[in-house]
Amino acid sequence: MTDPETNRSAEWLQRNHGVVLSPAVLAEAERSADRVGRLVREAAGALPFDRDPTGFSAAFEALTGKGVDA
Amino acid sequence: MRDDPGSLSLTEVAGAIAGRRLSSSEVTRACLDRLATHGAALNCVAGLDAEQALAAAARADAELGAGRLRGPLHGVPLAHKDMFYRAGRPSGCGSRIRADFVPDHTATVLERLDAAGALDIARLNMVEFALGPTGHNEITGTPRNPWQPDYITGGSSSGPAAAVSSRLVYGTLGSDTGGSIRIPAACCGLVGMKPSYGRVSRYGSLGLSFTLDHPGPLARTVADCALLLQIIAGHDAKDATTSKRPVPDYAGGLDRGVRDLRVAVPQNYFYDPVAAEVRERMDASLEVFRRLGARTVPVTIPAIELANPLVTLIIAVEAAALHGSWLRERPADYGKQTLARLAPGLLYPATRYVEALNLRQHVLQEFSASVFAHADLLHLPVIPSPVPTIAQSDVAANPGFSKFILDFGHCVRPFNYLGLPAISVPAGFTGNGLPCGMQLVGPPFGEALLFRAARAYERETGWTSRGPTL
Repeated sequence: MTDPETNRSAEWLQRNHGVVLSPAVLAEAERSADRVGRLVREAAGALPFDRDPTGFSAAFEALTGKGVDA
Repeated sequence: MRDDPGSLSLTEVAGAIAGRRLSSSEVTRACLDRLATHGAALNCVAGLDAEQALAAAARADAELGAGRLRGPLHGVPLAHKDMFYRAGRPSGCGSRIRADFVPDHTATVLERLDAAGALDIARLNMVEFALGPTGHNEITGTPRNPWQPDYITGGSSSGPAAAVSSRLVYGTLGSDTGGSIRIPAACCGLVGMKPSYGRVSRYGSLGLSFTLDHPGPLARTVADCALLLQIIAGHDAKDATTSKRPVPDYAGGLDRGVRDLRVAVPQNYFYDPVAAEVRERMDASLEVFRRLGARTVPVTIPAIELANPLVTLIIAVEAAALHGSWLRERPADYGKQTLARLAPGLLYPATRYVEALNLRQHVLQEFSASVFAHADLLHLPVIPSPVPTIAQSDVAANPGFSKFILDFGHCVRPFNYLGLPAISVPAGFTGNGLPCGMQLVGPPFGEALLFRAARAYERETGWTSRGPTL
C-alpha cells in the first residue's frame, strides 16, 4: 500500500470510528480486510439473491434431531 | 484407605467428598498448595483468595456434616477462565484495559456451578480478551504447558487447560470463539467440549463475537466434562440466544458404546495440510472406532473451506464493535496481536459482514447434506501440527501472523461458524512428547452422542488417565 492510500484510510478511520492507528497496523489491517473481504464477496456473489441471515436459524433447527442421540 | 486427592478425577473427588472419605477442606487446601507452587510456575493463575476458598470449603464440610448435600459438586474446588464474572470480584480478561474491572453481576454458568455445590477458588490466566489460539499473552504473561514448559498451552483458555492438566483443580470453564476450548484441551491432554450454539448461557461473561462465542467445560475425563456441561447447560432468561430445548442426561448414555455408529472421515479440506504425525494419530483413533464396531464413511464437504476466513471476518467486525470505545481511547494498551486482529474489523464494509452471515445457511446445508446424510458424527484432528513451542509460535503481529492463526485454527473454526457441537479428546502423543487431540463433531444439540463416542474411545485407549509429571 502506498503512503497516500494509508493516509486516506487513516483519515477515513478517524472520521468514521474516531480511531487513530499507527501506519504499520493500519497497512496490515487493510491487507487483511482486502484479502478476506474479497473472498467473502466472491462467495456471496454465487448465492441466490434472497438469502438472509435468519435462514441459518431455520436450517440449524431443521438439522436438530439428526443423528442417533440428538 | 484414604484417597489421594491429587490422583482423583472430578467425578471421583465429588464422590469422595459426598461419601465423607475426603473433606472439602483438605481437598481445597491441596489445590491451593498446588496453585501457589505449580500454578505460579506455569503462569496459569490470574487471582487467588486462599482465605476465602478455605472458608467456603469449611462451610461445605459443615453443611455435609449437617446432612445437606448441595448438589453433584458439593465442596469440589474448581477455577475458571478470568472472563466469567462474579459480582464484586475483579475479572481482568487477560488484559491491561480491564485489569481493575469489578463486575456487579455474576455469570449464569457460575451461579449454576455454585448451586451444584462447587467452589470457585481462583481466576485463571487467559489470552488477552480471549482473542488468540496459541496462548501467548504479552500483557499477563504466557502460561506454560504442564507436559513440557517450553511448549504452548493453546488458547485462548490457556490457564484453564494448564491448571486442570496439572491437577491444580478438577475442572474448569473456558470459552470457544474459534477453537479456544478445543485447542488448549488438545495441547494439554484434556477433554474439551464446545457445545452447540445456544446450549450454554453467555450471560455474565466477556463477549468477543456474539455469533461465534460458546462457553463450555474442560476436564480430565469424558465423564467429568459431561458432568460439568450437565450443570451449566440449558435455557437462561438472561441470554436470549439460549435454547429452550431440554438438556438430556449426558452421564446416562455414556457407556452405550459405538457399535454401528457411522463416523464420517473428511476427504477434503481438513487434512490439507496435516502433519504426518497427526495423521498417524487420527488413523490410529479411527482404527479404534472400527474395532469397537463403528463404521467409517468417507465424505467430501463442499464449501467448508469458506468457513475459516468467514470466521476471521465475523470475529474482527463483532469484536471491533465491542471494543470500539477502547480502540478510540486506549489503543496503546492492547497487545500487538490483539490490536492487529481487531483493526481490520473497522475496515470491512457492512455489506461484507452481512454476506458473511448470509453464507452460514449455505455452508451448513452443504455440511449437513454431505456429512449427516451419511453419518452420525464427523472425525478429524484438532490442530493440524504437533504442539509447537512458545518460541516457535510467538508470531505476535509480525508479517504472516494472520495466516499462522488461520492455519492453526484450520480444523476448529468452521464449527464456531456452523454452531455445531464439537469435542476435543486426547488421542495419544506426538514425537515431541506433547498430547495430540482428535475432534468429533455432531449435529445441533448432539452433545450426548459426542460424549458417548468419546467415552468409548477413552475406555479403550486410556489416554485420559495419563497426566504430566511436574
